[in-house]
Amino acid sequence: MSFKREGDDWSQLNVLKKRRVGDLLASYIPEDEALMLRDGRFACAICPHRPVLDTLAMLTAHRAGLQLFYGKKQPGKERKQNPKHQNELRREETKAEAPLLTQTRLITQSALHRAPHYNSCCRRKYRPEAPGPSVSLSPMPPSEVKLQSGKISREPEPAAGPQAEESATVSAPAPMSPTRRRALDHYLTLRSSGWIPDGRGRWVKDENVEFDSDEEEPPDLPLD
Amino acid sequence: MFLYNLTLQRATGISFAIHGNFSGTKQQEIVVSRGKILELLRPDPNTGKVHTLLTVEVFGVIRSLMAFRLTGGTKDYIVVGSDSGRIVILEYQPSKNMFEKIHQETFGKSGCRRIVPGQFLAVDPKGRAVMISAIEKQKLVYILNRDAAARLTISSPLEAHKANTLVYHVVGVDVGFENPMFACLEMDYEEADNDPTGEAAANTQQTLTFYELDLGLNHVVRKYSEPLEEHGNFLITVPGGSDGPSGVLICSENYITYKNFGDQPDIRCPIPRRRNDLDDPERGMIFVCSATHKTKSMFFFLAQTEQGDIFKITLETDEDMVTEIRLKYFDTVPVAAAMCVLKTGFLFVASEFGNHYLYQIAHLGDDDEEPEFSSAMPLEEGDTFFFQPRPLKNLVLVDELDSLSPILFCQETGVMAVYPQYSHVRLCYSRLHCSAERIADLANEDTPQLYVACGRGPRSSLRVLRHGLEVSEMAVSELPGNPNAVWTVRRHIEDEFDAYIIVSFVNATLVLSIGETVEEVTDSGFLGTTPTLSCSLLGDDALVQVYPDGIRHIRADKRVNEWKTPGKKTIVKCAVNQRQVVIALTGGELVYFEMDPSGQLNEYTERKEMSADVVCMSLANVPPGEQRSRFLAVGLVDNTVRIISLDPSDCLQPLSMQALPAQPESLCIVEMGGTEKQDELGERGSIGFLYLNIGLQNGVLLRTVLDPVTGDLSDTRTRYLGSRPVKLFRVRMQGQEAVLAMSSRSWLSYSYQSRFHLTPLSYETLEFASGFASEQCPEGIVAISTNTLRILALEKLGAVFNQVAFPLQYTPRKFVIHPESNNLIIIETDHNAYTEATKAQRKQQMAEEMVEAAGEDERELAAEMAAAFLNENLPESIFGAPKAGNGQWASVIRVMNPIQGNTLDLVQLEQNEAAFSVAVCRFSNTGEDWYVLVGVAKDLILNPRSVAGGFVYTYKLVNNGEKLEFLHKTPVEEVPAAIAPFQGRVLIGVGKLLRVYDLGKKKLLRKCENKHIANYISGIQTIGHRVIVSDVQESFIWVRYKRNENQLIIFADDTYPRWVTTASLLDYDTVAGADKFGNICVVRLPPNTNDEVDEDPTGNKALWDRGLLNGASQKAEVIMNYHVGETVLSLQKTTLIPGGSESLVYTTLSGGIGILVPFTSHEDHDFFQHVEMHLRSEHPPLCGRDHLSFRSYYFPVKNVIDGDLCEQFNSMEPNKQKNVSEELDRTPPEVSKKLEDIRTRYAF
Repeated sequence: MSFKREGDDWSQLNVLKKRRVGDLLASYIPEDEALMLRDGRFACAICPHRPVLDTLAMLTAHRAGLQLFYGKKQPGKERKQNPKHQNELRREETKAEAPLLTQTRLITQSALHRAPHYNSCCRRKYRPEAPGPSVSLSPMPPSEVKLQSGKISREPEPAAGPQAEESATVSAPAPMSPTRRRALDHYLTLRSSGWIPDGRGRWVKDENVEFDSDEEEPPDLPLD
Repeated sequence: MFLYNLTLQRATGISFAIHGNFSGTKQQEIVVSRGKILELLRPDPNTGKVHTLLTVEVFGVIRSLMAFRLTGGTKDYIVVGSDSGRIVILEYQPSKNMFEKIHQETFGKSGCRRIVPGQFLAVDPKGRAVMISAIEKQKLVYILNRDAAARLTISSPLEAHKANTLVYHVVGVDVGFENPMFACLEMDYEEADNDPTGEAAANTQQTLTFYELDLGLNHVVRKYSEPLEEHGNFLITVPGGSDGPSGVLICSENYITYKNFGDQPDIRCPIPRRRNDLDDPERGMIFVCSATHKTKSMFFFLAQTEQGDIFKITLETDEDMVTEIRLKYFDTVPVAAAMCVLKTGFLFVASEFGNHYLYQIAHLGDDDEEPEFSSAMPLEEGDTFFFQPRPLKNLVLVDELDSLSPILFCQETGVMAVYPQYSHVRLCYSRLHCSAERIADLANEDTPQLYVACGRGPRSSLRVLRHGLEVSEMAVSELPGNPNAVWTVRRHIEDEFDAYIIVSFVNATLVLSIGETVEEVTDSGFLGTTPTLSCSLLGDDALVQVYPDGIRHIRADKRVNEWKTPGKKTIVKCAVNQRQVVIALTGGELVYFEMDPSGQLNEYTERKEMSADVVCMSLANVPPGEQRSRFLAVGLVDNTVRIISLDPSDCLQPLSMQALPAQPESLCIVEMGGTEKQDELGERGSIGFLYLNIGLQNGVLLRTVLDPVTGDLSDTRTRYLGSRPVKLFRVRMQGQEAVLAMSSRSWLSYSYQSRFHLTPLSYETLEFASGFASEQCPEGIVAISTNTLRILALEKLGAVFNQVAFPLQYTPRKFVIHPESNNLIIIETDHNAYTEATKAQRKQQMAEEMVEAAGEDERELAAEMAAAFLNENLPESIFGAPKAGNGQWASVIRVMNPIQGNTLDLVQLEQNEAAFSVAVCRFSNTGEDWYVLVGVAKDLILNPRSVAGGFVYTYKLVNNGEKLEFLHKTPVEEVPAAIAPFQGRVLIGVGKLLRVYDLGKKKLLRKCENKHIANYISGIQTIGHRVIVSDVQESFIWVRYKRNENQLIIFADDTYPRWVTTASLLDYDTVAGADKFGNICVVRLPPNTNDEVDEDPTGNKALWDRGLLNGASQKAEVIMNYHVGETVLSLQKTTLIPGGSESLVYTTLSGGIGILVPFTSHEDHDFFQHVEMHLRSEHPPLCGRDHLSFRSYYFPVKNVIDGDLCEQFNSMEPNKQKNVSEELDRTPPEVSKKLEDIRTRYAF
């Protein structure tokens, strides 16, 4: 078997060439504007309905269309913002009268945010998931955690640990308050043990997940 | 990354064993194949010890092995059938101690293929022809002869092919000097293949076919073929010609049948079965191996059944017609892969699993009570004879050869002892490589240990391997006070054994004579009232004692000559050999004495003043046939060693000098590295090099080559031995000189199979030692440790590890280490086995049946018999466990203290529950408690595969990690074959499902699942958020756990279909894995890999979902590929020597242990690449397989250099060594030094 190209179908060759150029140009897609899917396809993170596109070329084409749409209406800086973000910001402004409510909602929403770094085409700046063992990875004392991760991770990471990082991608890199972190942790613990927020502030059981028979309500946020 | 492969311990399992007179002398040797290794063993008929003479790695798969001897010859040759597509004939050269390839004939493609011959070999008993056969179709016959110069010749091949025929076994029939004949067990499948109804397939019969080589016409004919009633599994040749009736014995299920040409009727005898056997009675019984013993007057066969019972088979003849087969129960030994009966009356049993044995045949079983079964006894069809197995009666065990084969799991535990609480995270081993010396403090040793789970069934064991030579303590006796030194002397130079042990105290000397017992004597002539500096045999039969005030020369007739020191000077140091004495007086004055032909000790006219005080001296032994040793080595207080000539022409002139990094403590000149001093024909082998060993006060040993002509010192090798000053003693090991070096630990430096070994003794600290030879212990050591005198023997030279074995009940599958108590939790699982409970139940049932079956009047007798049967307890490790049948499983979970080897807790699982995985972990929702999870399959049938489900048993470790407290059992749908702790929960591979479980109150709670793994999860590794899953067939799959979505998402995988057996993480992106075909690979995710992939919500199949190369869009890169040649079952990144660098340690199913080490510099890599390249062409593998293609058996070898091949440099002929090293711009010693350096940097 040989991988040598046979024939002289220049059109095909041109298509390949175009795709190659497209792939190279794709590195200009910012990390948070596209999602890479398990099967190698891409989802556009700008559009609220998250269209799935088969190849990088299609994503580029899709983005070209977006550019036309947004590019004319909004100034360049605004365009980069995810429409969802803008919504949040707007909501934040309007509902300033109930600070606690806003805060919780914000936390939930930012935690819910599925906007991990898209970085298969952009060179990654840092690796948040570098092997710092999570808080609950194993019952190790924190000093040990440092010892272990210190050698591997290429850049210092926020003390909150990777999950917190992951879920709080949209929030500012400013240090989190302990309460907030605890709330976040609690949220993740619930989420990973199979509780799903129903959107009305209550938690329901994921039907694919098993629970203890006496477990009707999710555990409360630990008070301390 | 470039790696270098080193074997630490070669495979120990034996696949074939043949015996013959390979060195051409009267003595019989055994040649064994260990897969890819050919080894020559010599059982010593006097001591009963088996010595390894030669080991050669052939870089190919040895598939068959035969010995043959040309008619009228005295020397046996070895024919090897391998995967090289070539037939190779080897001859052992005792003078060079090597196998020489005499003939190598190519006939087909390489590789283990169906129709390429190599699988079966048969030789004509008269040594005229050899047949090499494939599993299917092809058979080739080569005629062997000699030419005018009596050299062995081989003809071109004669074909005996038959298409559509499978071959089961081939033997050469003994027809005397008629045309050579070969008998084959064959099956013709042509009809069955062409009949779609399957009727023909059901009726296909096996045939016994005879092929005759017509020497006159020079071709092979298929002479005669006969269908067989039973399906045979192997054939035994019956001696013919003038020795016996000729023909073959066909061993088949339940029967053994004799067949021959002509009028001979078939004689058939059932294979006896054990009385009251717990085995499934429907199960057929077969013989698995046999050995033939033939003398001029008689012959018999020993055949072993698959239960291990050996039967002695004899044939009754009447005028060359066989009338009767007789079988007699002989003894029971572990099931063998091969047996050899030697002329000296030894039976060598190469066990299928576990240690190998050498037995002495004490009785032939002719005149005992044991019943003899005969084919002449009338029996109904389907009925058989019964016998009662019993402990050994005819055989006496004389030697045992350790074998780790099969190694199922291994873990190196260095760090564990130091940081127990963290060791459950694999990563820690490498990250915190705190030195292993600290372990030493805890375990009182200074080497890490390898815990190896090995063996099969009831012969399983957990072995603890430590680097070091096993020491057998022959005697320990207490002395009055603390002695300083000890020597042994012979009475006469011709004496084989020592006569006296001289022990020196601070102010006295004790003389002990060696006889039946060791006792004090006063009439030896030695001065007892003074300490002794040295003593030795002088000349033929005189003795010399050097003490601080003089030298005492004791002649054979007890006349004593004394030489007294002048003035107030005393002797501080001395060196003595058979003819020379050199003493150093206070102030650094050297006085030299030499013995003249009349036996008089004469002082040399001059004395020599040294520039500084003398610290140590050494004289070499007098070379055979010469008057004196020409060199004296003197170590001075000014950190130098000087070589001084003792030659009469320039006596006491300095020859050379070497500066040392520290003050010397001890010196020893030895001759090492030569081959055997003398072979059986009386020819002297090549003489080795002279080495000057220098022990320094800082614990370092230097070994320097001493030029035998000029006295120059060159090629110094350094090794740190311990914290105390190094003292050196010359001893004898396997007929050669060796050096015992004592620091905080004792080491033995010796040459073994043309390689230098410096191995620590696994023994307590010694202070002084000397060689010791007596009748009971021909090559021992007498040593001092505090106030005791010890006689020690080192028998297992060449072994890297010394092992301690603790028996287990079933085949160990895996173990984990509880990090807090360091206890091992082992799962043992056997297929085709009963649990203890079922066994007891069946026994009870059988006993009841026995009583019921008996008539009224026999009831009492039957009850007695039943009671005896219930009480009978034959050890299963010898007699085997009862075979319960297909689909029957037995398992236990054991908690064991690895230091004492005692079982702390044992959980027996129910019948047909098979434990496959184990993990010890903590759950984030339960705090500090440790839990043990065991994955168990229920009613698993291997073929055709079916399983009724599985369970995960959860136990809480209580009582400081000593007891398992059952918590609950979680049912799952498939076999839970892998469990790994992960973020305070566990990941379990249930068949092809990857799941996250959390600890619940009544069971484990499934929290998350991924269904996209290809076939069957065989292992799980985790690092950070990454989970690396090994699939049984599709290599590695990288999975990411997303906590906020509670999803496991595959983000990368490998493109090669690897059948992963074990894996180990090297760093965050890199995994090392091994597969079941014997390959090791390292794969790495490219740096731009994106972990943050999402699940595709559309449900459409994308490009990657359709692809053949698994589903993930991101692919790992192959960093390294290497074919080891044996299935690797454990991999671990670890440090093997204190202060050494990290290496990847692997163990193989055949019992081998090896390491892969990284090159630290490009120059090194370049150098070894060239060494390998030259050796491939200059020293091609012995059985004809190309080295490069062997190492690339399944995947092209990448980035690995084969150290095993490179180290064969040392066993090459000197002129070839020179050629190769010239190509490398170096000298041969430089090359071998580099080879030694890279080994000692990482291992031993």
